[in-house]
Amino acid sequence: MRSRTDLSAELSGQRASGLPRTRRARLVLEWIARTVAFGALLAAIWWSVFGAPLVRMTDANSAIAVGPADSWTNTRTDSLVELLLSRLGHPDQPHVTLAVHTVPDTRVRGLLHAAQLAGVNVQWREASGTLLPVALSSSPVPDPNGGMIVRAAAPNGAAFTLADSLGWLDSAFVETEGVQWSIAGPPRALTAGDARAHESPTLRLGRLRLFSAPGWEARFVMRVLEESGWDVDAEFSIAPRVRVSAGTPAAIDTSRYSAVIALDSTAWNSAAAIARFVQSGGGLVLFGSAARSSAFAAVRISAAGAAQPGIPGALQTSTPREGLALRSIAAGGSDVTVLERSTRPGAPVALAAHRVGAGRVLQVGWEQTWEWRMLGVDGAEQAHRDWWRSLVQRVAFGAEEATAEWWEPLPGAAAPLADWVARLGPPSVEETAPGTDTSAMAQPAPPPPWLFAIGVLALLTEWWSRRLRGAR
Amino acid sequence: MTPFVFATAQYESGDWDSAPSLPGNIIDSIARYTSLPVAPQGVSVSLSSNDALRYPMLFLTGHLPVRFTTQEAEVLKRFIARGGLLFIDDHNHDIDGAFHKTVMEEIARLIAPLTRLPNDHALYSAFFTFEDGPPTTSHELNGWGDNLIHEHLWGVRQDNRIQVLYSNKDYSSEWNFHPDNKRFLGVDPTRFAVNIVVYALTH
Repeated sequence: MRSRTDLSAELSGQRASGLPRTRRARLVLEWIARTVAFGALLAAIWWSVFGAPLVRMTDANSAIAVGPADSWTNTRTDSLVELLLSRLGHPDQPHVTLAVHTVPDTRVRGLLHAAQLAGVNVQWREASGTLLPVALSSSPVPDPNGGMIVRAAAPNGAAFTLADSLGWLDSAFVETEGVQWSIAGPPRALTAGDARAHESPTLRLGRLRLFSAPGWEARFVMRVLEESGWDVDAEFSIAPRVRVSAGTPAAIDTSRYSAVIALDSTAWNSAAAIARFVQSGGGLVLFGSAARSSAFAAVRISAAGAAQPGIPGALQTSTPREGLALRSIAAGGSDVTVLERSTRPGAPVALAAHRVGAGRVLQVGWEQTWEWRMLGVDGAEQAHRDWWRSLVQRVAFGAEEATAEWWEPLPGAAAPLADWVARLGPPSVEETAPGTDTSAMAQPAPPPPWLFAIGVLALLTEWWSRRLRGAR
Repeated sequence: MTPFVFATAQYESGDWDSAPSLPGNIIDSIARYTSLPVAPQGVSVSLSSNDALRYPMLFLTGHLPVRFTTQEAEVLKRFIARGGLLFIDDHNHDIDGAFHKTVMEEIARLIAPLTRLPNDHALYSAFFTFEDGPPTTSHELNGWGDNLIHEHLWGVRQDNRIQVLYSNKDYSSEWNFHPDNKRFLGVDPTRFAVNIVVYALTH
């Protein structure tokens, strides 16, 4: 095919050489035919991408073809609004049926729900069998290093990806209990399938207050918590009239402290203040030696049992905590969540939690955990640090601080299919109305045939003209 | 509460047991000045054994050059990485003796170079207050060594928490006497040892 420059040169050359007027007209006609063919092709492409009709009237009972969710442009939504308005007050009470490939966004769901409340019979059905019900939630972790706990629920066997604004983070295959991630870094919005978890608020954390006698456990607990980013206050009684402070111990309340860690009997004298702290939202990590006192009856899960010695050699195994002494917990209450059981005979409870007032209490049966750090296998110090960090994370109090997106900007975004069903009801099982083009409902409409005909006709005309004048 | 056990590190090179009365004297001071439960007898533990990890504070002394064996080096590195505190004292109280030079080299090789510990470090106020830093010893100016007051102790620290504490003030000689003789002293020199133990148990 010659370029536009060639054609201009040919025309000017012919004009200069005095070619017949009819021949010049033919060349112009060929140029116009090519332009029309190109235009038709571009129009067909534009139509496929942007112009596929969203709304298709099939008969008096209307049907609507709905494209992929990313095709919910303003134009298409406007056409949907137009259809719904036309149905309002219709004497035949026709219904509007939507065939969807993906769950429409919050705006469209709200629009359809409003139309339904206004009297339009809106029904829907799944067009391609690919709708995946996913619910996503995220919550900030009370930890100085930040992070989020993200949980997703979906039917067994479902597979989807978790992503943030920068791209994919992980993929998931759902088995029995959904999927949970622990994600480092600042709070941010996430998506999983169609579901979206908005940016969770950040937490303003206080300090930790440790009650312990001076000893190796106190040394290592302070160390692991400070290594994890916490500021720890403690006061140790070294001699009858000598107390040594670490940090800046102060009155126990939620404005100063996120959690209290009571390792032993040194906490007994402060049990009432600790109980008030927990009632008002603070967290408590309560060890068996501290829980023995009835002063903690208001907050403990149970009085700790007698200490059983650790299993010799277990510190060097894959269950190193079995090498620690254990004061088992009688976790019988219905409000108690058992978090860990020992592998010893009778499977005694070693870790359990419950709520007290607005706060949370985690009771720990293991004793002298520093032995795990010092005598465990390679990596024991990291495992010990992570374990302690997780203990505090489970109970620590953090005041939520507003972020730019602290409110949920898109209602129902966390579980869009559930929201869709809640608004419009379950998918319709009604047979397609006679004369309804179900394939058209299921797929976005192709470009109109007349556009194709114009393109072909223009090409044939150009080809025919060129062949008749002997050109190739 | 588990009693504190004073543990002395055994190592193959040198004379690890050069201050045999020192452990009993320090144990006496802990019992005398504090209410901390303390085991009445100290223990000696080989640095080539993982049993050393049972005692998060180890005391090491001697006169002779120190060269750790491969196994001792492995255990020592593990001990420090997991949070133990190693207290080393040069029994020679000189500034450039064989023990001093070899300990500096070995600690730098295995852990990190020793640096001067500031005299306002929490160690000096952990129980008794030593406003001028480490207390001097009667052996520092007796002419047998460098005849200098060593104004600082040395240490390897992580986040200002002492991992290795090194003294070339010869506390091993200063504290190596029977506890009954404290009654003849105006000031008990082992008070600083109490600070070291209390610091280890609370930091």
